[in-house]
Amino acid sequence: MFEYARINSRDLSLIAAVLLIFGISAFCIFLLFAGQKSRWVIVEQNGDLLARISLQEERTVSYTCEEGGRHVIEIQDGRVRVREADCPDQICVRQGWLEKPGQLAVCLPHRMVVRIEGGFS
Amino acid sequence: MKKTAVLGMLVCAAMMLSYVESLVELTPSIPGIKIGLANLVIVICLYRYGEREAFLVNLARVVLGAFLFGSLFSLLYSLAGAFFSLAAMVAGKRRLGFSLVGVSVCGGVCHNLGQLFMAMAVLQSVWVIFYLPWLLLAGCAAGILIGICAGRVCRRLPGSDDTQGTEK
Repeated sequence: MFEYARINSRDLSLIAAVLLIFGISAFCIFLLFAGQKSRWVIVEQNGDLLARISLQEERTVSYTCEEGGRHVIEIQDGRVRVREADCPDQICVRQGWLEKPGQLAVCLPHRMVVRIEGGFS
Repeated sequence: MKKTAVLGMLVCAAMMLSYVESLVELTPSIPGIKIGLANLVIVICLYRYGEREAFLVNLARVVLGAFLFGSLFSLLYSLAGAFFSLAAMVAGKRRLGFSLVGVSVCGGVCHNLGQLFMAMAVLQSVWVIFYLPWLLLAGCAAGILIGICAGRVCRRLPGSDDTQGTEK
């Protein structure tokens, strides 16, 4: 009875495989950004570059796109966040402050990405 | 007719679980990480009733859920996750000889992959790949949890037998 509910060796290999892929991908991403310092804030929409701002600046900028999406992006103390947005899910706002290279905040309804670009030295 | 009623209740249960889950947010810094409680219902449905029924319940819960709590946009996104996940679970159950836990791990991981690919397509940005490792890990952990729970539930449901629920 209920053989199908008992963990078998194939399950364990699947879990091991997923953990292996996790390890490899985490390591690759680590290598990609290793040794970099946070330099720029990149704002993209629909894959197009909207802005590239230095993280050293202290400023708050607002972007409005043609479809009506509005985002207020705040840069402060070498960190950046989406402070306000008029998207329904507010996922970009809840992602909070970004400070490390590679970190990003996404807004799916407005197709916008805010990410940190790193640089050496 | 009885089956229709039970499937309707399963849709309802799945939607309630999604709603309960939407009240708690596990990790704000990585969007998309969740336990996937609704998948519990889909896994149980897959084992107790079969693939066609699981597909229908999945479709109904995603569409109704999007109209009630989400938007047309979240519908697109949920559909990508839900059907990539179900396809992986069906493949895992039919061909790869996984138990319920393995099947549900397939579902959890592929749900997250489906949503990640959809996000990449929508945002037209490859940088979303930054989330990949964490989504894999979270999908795996959630899958194990849901698989164990689904096994317990299946044992306790009346009329359980060893036919893997493909009949009836």
